[in-house]
Amino acid sequence: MVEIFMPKAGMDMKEGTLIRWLKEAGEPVEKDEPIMEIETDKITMEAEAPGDGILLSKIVEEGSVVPVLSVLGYIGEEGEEIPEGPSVIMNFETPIQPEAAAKKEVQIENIDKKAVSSNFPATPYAKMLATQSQIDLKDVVHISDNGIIHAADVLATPLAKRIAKSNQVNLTDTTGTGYHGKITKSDVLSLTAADTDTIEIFENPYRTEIARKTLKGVRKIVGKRMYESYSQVPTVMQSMKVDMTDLIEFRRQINEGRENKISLNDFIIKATAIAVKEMPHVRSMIVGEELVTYAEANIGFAVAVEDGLYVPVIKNADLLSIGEISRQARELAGKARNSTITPDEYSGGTFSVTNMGMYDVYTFNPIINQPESGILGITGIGEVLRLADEKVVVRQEAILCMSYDHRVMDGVGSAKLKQRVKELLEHPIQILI
Amino acid sequence: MNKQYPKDLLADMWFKMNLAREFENRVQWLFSMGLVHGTTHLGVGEEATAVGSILALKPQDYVFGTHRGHSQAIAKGIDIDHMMAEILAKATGVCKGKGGSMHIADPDIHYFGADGVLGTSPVMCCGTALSIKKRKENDRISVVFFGDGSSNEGAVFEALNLAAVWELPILFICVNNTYGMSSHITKVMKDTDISKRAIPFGMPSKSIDGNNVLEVYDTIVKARKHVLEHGPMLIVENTYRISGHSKSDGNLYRSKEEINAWKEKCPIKFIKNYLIENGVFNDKQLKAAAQDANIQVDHAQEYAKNSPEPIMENIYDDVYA
Amino acid sequence: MSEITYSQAINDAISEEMRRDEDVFMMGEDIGLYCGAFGVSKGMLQEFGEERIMDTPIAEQGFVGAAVGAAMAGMRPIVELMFSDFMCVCFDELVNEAAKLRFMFGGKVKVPMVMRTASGAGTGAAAQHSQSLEVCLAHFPGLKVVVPSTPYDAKGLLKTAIRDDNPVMFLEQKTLYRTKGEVPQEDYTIPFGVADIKRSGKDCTIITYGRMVQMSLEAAKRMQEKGIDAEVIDLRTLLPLDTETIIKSVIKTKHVLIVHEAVQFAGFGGEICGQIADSEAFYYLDAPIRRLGARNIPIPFNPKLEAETLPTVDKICASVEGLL
Repeated sequence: MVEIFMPKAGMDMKEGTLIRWLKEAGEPVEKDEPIMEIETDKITMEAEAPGDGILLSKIVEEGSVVPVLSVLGYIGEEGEEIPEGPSVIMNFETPIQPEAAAKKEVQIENIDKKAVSSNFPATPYAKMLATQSQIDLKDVVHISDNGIIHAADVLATPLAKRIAKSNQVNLTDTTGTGYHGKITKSDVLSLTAADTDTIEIFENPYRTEIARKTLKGVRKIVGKRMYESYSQVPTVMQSMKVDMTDLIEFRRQINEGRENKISLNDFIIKATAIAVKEMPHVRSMIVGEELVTYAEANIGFAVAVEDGLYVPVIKNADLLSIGEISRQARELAGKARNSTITPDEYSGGTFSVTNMGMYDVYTFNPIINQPESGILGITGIGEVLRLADEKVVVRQEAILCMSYDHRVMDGVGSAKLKQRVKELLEHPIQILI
Repeated sequence: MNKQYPKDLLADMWFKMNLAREFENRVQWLFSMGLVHGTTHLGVGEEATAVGSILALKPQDYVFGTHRGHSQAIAKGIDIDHMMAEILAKATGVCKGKGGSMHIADPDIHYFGADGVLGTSPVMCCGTALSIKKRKENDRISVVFFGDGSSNEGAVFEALNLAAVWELPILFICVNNTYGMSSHITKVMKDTDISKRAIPFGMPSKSIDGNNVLEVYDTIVKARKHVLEHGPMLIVENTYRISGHSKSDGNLYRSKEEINAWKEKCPIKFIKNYLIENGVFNDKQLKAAAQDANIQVDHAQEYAKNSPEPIMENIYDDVYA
Repeated sequence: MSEITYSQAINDAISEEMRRDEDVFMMGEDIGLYCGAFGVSKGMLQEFGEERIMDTPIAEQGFVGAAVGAAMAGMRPIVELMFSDFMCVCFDELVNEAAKLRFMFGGKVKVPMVMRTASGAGTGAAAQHSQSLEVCLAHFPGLKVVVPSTPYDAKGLLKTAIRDDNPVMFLEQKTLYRTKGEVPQEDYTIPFGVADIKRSGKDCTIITYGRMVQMSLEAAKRMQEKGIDAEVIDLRTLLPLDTETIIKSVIKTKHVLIVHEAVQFAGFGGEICGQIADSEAFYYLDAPIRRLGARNIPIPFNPKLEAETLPTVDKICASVEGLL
C-alpha cells in the first residue's frame, strides 16, 4: 500500500490545490505515471504516482486546497483495505524545521537610582561623573553654549569642586587600575571617597569631624593584604589548650643572670620552627594553580607598630639556638618599630606566629599572612585549676589559636601542628635539642 | 559499434550512471517530502556526459563541476553518503552542512566543486591549470564543466582567451542540455553551435552526442591526450535536461512531447541496449547492478537522515584558515 | 635602517617573499616591462622572469579568477588591479569565490592569495579611477582588508599578507607611492588586527587610516600650538579590526573624530562609530562621535573641486575643535 500525497514542489510551498484526478478509482497505475494535476502558488503541474498498483481510493476531492504532505489517496492491490488514520503522512521523518530562535531574555539593567534626571541633556561621561559624585544634574549651574551638560560643567558645581579639593583629586585626569588602564567604577569611587564607604556629603549634625587622613603607606598596604586574605582564602580556626607552667619555670631558670632575657615568644618561635620543619604540609602554599612546598622553616612573627603591622622573618629558625632567635627577634622588632626594617627582613616566610599574650586575650582568629598556609596565634596566660593525679592543681594555661587555609590543609593537619608545638612547649627541654 | 571496451570499464559506466540516476531520483523524492532545505538542481538525463567524461580522465586531474553536477561528483568518486548528508544539511556532509547542493565539493579527490555563480568555474580552472603548468606536472590536466546557459557569461570568454594565450593544460567541457533555466538555446545565442566559440581563440573543438556514453568516453580520452600534448580544447556534449531546472520548475517553457521524445533517447537506455546487444552482460546482471546502486542510495539516505545537524559552536569554523 | 619610498617598500616585500617561497608569483596588467602603472614592480621581471611576473590580458575576471584557482591548487598568487575601482569588474571572484570557498567547502580548501591595488584620489584621474572602496571589501567575512600608510607599515603588512593563508585585499594609496620612510633591512612582519598609535595624546582621539594618517598628524601638529593634544590612531587593518585600541583611547580622551578619504555616507567610519557606541567607551563620551569623509559625490575632475571633495587638514582641525 502506498500513499498518494501532496508533494512539496517548490522551495517555499506550504499548501497546494488538487485540481483534478487523471485516473479513476479502480484503474491500474504505474510508478511515475501522472495521476493528478496540482497547483502550487506559482504554477500548475502534473504529479506522478509514487508506486505501481490499483488506485484504491481518492480521499480528497477535486478543487481542495490541502497542506503539503497531506494524504490524497491510496495505491495498492485490489481488495486491500484502506487504513483509517491521520490524513498527513506520519511514517516519515517530520520535515526539518529551522531551529526556533532561542527566546532572548530581555535583561533590564539595574537602573541606577542615583542617575538623576535634569532639564538639559547631558553627555554619557557627564552623567557618569554626576552619578559617582552624587551630584544632581539639576544643580549644574554652568552649561556649555550648545545647551548640553558636559563633564566640565558637572565638575564646576560647587559640590564637585569641594570633593575634588578635599581629596586632591583631578577627576578628568585619571588613568585607572582597570584592564589596560581602563577607569573602573571603583577607581572613580576610590578617588572620590576617603574609605570604601560612599562619602557622606551631607554633614551629620551629631558627628564633628576632628581628623581626616588619606590611607597610604604601610597602613594602606596592610589593609589591602588583610582584606585579600580575609575575602579570598577559606580560613578555618582551630584552638588547642597548652599548659605553659613548665615553660615559664624553665624560662625563669634560663634567664637567671642573663642580660638579654629570652622571652616566651622566642620559645614559641623555636618550638613552631621545629614543628614546621617536621611537617611539610605546613610549609606549603598555593601558587597559581599549584601547591608548592618549601624546604625551610622561616618563621615570621607579628610586630605591631604605630602605623600598622610588620611580620619580620627569622630564617631557618629550626637551626638556630634559642639565644640566636632571641637576638634576631629583638633586633628585627626594633627595626620594625622605627621603620628601618627592609623588605628582605620581612619576606620569605613559610609560616608565622602571633602572640597576643601581653593583652590578656582569651581567644582570637588571626588573619593568615598571605600566602602562607596558616598562622599560629597564642593568647595570654591565665591561671586555671586542673586535675592531676586526682588532685586539684593550679596551672598556667594559654590557648593556641590557629587559622589555616583549608585549601592547603585540613583539621587534622592543623591539629598535628599544634600538638607538636604543644608537646614542645609543655616539655621545654626538648626545644633545646 | 565494433570497438572493444574493457568489460570492467563498461560495468563501471553502467553502475555509475545508475547510481547517478537513482541518486537524483531519490533527492527529488526527498525534496517532495519537504526534507531538503533550499533548492536543488537535478541532472536526470545527463548522466552520460558526467560518467563518460570523467571515466576518461585520471584520478589526479582537477575537475570543476556545475551546480547541476551531482552526477559529476559521483563519477569523480565522491562518497555519496556524505554527499546526501550535505544535501540534507547535516554536519557529516561533505561540506559540513555549510555548502549545500549547489556547492558540493571534495578537494581531497580533486573535485573543486560546484559553484553557484555561473561563469566563474572556467576562470578558476585556468588557475588550477596554471599551477599544473608552473609545477611542470606532465600527467595532469584541469577540466571544467559548464552549461550552455553559462557559456554566454563574459568570464567564459576570458577563460578561453587566457587558456589559449597562456597555453594552459585545460579541457573545457560544455554540457549543452538545450535549456538555460527556461531559455531554449535558440533564444539566447545566434549560432547555437557552441563549439565554434573556440575558433577566435585558435583552440580546437568538437561537438558530440552527450547521451552516448561511449562516444563521450572516446572523445574525452582523445581530448585529454591532446591537451597534454598541444594545449587547451573545447568539447561540447549535446544532451537534454529531463529534470526541471530546479525544484520550483513547472516546465512551462517546454512541451511534454519534447520531454517524452528525449526520454526515448535516455542515455541509460542507450547503454543498456548496447550491453545486451553486444552480449557483454545480460538483463539479469544489469538489473542486479542497478539494484546495487539502489541499495547504495538507500544507505546514503539512511546515513544522511540519521546524521546530526551542525552545532552552533562551530558556526565560525572555516571562515578563515 | 634605510629610508625608502612606499613604492620601494612594496617592491621589496614582494621580491623578498618571492625569493623565499617559489610558490609566490604575481599577475597583473603591464607589470612586466612597463613595471606597473605606478612603477611598483620595477626590476622584478628582470629578476624573476616572465613565468613569475605575468603580464595579463585586460580581463580582470579572468586573471583574478585564475588567481583564485591557482591558490586553491596550492600556489600563492599576487594579483595587481591597476586601479582599485576595477575591483568592481571582478567583484564576484573576490567576494563570492575567494572569500567563501573555504567556508562553503567545509574547510577543505584555502585561498592564499593577495589582491593589491592602487586606491584613492588626488591625481585628477576623476570618478572611475579615484575611489576608496575598502568598506565594500570589509563587508565580506572570509577576506582580510589592509590599508597601509607608511613604507614601514606597507612592507611589514604586505609580507604578512603574502604569508597569510587567506585572501588579503591590500589597498595601496596612490598618492603615497613617492613618500619616504625608515624601513629596517632585516626581515620583519606586522600582524593584522593591530592598530598603531602614531601620535599619543589626551584631548581627542583621531581614528584614521591610509592617506588620511599623514593629514591627521599634520592637523595634530597645528592643533598642538593651540594647546589641543590629539591622539592619532592608524588602524592599518580594517578586517580584522583592532577594537581594543580604539575603545581604550576613547575612554582616555572622551572625544573622537574618524577621518577617511572614502565617501562619508555609508563609509567605514560608520562601522567604527557603531563599535564605539556599543562598547564601554560610550559612557565616557563627552561629545558626539564625529566622522569626516569625502562629500557624497563622485570625485570631480577639476583639481580644486577634487581637493574640496576630500578631507583637508583645515577640516580635520575644525572638526576636532568643534568637539572640544
